Amino acid sequence: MSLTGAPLVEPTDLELVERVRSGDVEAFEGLVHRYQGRVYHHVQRMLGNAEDAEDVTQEVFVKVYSTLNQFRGQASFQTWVYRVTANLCVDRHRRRQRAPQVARSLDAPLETDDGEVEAELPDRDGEPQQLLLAVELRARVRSAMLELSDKLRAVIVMHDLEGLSYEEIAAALGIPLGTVKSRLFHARAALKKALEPYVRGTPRGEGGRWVA
Amino acid sequence: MDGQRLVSDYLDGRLAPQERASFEARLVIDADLARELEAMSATLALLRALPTEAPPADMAARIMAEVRLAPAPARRGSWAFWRAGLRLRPLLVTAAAAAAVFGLVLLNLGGSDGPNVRLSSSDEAFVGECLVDYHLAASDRYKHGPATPGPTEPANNAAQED
Repeated sequence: MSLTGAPLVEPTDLELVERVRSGDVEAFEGLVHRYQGRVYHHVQRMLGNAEDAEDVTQEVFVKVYSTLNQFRGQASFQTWVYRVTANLCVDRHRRRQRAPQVARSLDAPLETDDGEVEAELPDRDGEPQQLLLAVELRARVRSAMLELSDKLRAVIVMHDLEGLSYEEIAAALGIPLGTVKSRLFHARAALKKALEPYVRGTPRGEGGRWVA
Repeated sequence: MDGQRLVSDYLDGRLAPQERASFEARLVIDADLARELEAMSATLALLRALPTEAPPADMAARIMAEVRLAPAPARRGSWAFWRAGLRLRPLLVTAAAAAAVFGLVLLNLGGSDGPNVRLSSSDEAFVGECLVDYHLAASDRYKHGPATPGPTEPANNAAQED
């Protein structure tokens, strides 16, 4: 609330962009806070490991900042950020394929002073066997995602995991609407095929729900 | 539309009301379609259940530390100037080429084998517009002398522009 009692209005993305362009580099921090989570999660989902997620997220924002003069405001700032993110993810993925490096997978246990612990402890009071199945299933789903091509993975991540519309995806990736729909269909079909044994054959918990 | 595509569109809420009603009616009698819908729904549920790690607490600080060292985006004025420069570039290239040809022609005409011809101001003005015609006109004047009107005379040009 402001001194007059009127509610404080947060600056819009465009207002922050204009401030940055005018030389106020600190205004960029507002944009970082707004989008770092989305970018970080997107990169995680695209690349499947934590080191890349941190590196590429930083690269995204530095690139967004350095090329702000190219942002004309015709598309939303979110679309612009997604476009930069998608391109850098593709670059990083190709580099990794050419020169594979050891990177900590999101499923790998963490080293702590007390020994190794699971990176993500499922919030359940299930038996150890069910926990193991959950971990295996999670790893299989991630693996199936990474087996998709960059183009298919980008669309399914943006639509099914991040909630972007077909139109927003088309704008971010610079592809026609029909191509978005087609890639989404093929991505889903490929995932369904890859996860078929887990969807049909994996033991279910009570009520017919999946262990994951 | 085949079953898989229908299922995909149905899950995205992109079927028109009538198509949706027709699809739901078909689900009751088409076991394969129902299985396809269940399998696709379960697949997407598995995908959405994948957890993600939160960014490190100092991510924003690290980003800003790098941003402060990065080259600043060009100010509006300088970008506008650069953009304008890009639009002027074709004209500048043409003018530069014309000046180069003009210089070459002068050198040729001032050589020991040819007369020392001074070009009229109208010919000089024409250089920036049509390089080929200028070069031919200069050759013509070399052969016939400065008194002979060439195709680059203003009167002729005016007629051609009409």
